[in-house]
Amino acid sequence: MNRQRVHSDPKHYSQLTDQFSPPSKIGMGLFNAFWVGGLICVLGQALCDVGVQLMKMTARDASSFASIILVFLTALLTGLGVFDKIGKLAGAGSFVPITGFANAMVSPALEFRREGLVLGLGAKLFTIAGPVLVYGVSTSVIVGVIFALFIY
Amino acid sequence: MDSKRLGQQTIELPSRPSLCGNASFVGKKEGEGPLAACFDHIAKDELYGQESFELAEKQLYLDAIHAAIEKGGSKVENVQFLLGGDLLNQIITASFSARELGIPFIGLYGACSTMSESLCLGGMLLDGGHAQQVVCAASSHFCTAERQYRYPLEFGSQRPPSAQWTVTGTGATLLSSVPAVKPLAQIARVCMGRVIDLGITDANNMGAAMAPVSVNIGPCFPRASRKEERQAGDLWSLSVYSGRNNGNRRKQSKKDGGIGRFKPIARKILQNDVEISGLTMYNQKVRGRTDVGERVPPMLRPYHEEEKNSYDQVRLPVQRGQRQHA
Repeated sequence: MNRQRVHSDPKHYSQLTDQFSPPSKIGMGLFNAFWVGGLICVLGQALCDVGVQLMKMTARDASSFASIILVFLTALLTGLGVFDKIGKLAGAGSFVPITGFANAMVSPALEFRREGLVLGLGAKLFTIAGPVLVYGVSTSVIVGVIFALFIY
Repeated sequence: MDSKRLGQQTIELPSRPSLCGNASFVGKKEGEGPLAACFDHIAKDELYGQESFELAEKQLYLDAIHAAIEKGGSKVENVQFLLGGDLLNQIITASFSARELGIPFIGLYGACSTMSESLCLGGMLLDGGHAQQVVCAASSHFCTAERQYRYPLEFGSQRPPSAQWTVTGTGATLLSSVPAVKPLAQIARVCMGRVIDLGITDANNMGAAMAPVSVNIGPCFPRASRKEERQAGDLWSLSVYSGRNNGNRRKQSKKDGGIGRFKPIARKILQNDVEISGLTMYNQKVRGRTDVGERVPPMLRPYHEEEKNSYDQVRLPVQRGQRQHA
């Protein structure tokens, strides 16, 4: 092995790093993401149906109802220390549904509570979800303006 | 003074400062690994009986320092400097510990190299005759470091298989130029690493980011004395990165860029998914080589009672040029 090359050539070194780093198990990862994510969606749909069929909600109310329940469950599981294990297993499967957003809000809240209510919890609550909110809200404003100008 | 410099990065310490006491206090996960027998104390949980992880880290820090001083046959009052650091903002673990210990404090931040850095500087302080006993310590705590550098603990994210794990634990050592007990090791030379950035941006792959420096440091020691150092059990600044554990040793050692010597330990550690910083490696090395006591030069006299009493008045001369080269 050319020692000089190892500590002077970033391209060569990153090749070496890739070569020696164990790869992610893509097949297993996809499968776990699929069934956990699918299960969460099925649960959401079931809650929707319960809302419409049994509680006589409108479809719009029922979907809000399902979201609220899912967010609540995620927050509860995060607090109990279970959700990070689910996240480790399922990856995007548990992160992409609304459960991921709830987890991204609750986990900093738990983490930074010890630093105080204002400078800890208050200041750091949005460390993970912040970018999502910033760009989500910005995009909705832009889309809203376009809608108002050209379509409405 | 220039004669102490051996090269661009390497410095000779002719008085051979002795490492008299060492202690490592670690967390639960480290206690489950292959190095468990090397640790002085394994905490039952990550909180170590405290209210927060930060307080737990500070308590580990204090306990390890007290243990190291005690094992070195000294007292807190006799220690003249505390060189230490940790991973947190404003090195709060080290500085809050220093507040309680009352030892003059030199705060260091070198991330994973803090332990080696503290030993290098501590050895130089002793060799220069500026102190006779110093404590060098470094610590990290998985739960505090994770929050500082990555995500909150309860955040459900996936780690890639190459991700390493920050150690929960503190390593502390007592360095002395007047050892009261049989030294565990002596510092012959120190080599300060340069920062070598080969563009690793993955916050989870700390080993790959650090490995180029250990390749760089290795050749800084003259070849003949490398053997001598191995025999004497002297200290190396090192960080470790081991490749995929595919069992093909020959192929691996060719491609690891010359850090093959450290591979057996590195492999064990990576199996346990624990990132190794200087401190665990260091303890491993010291433990394995307790026979170095015989190599203590004659000028390192025991630390007598009367010298203790008149500690601040009497500076024991640190003699040079009496190295044991038979």
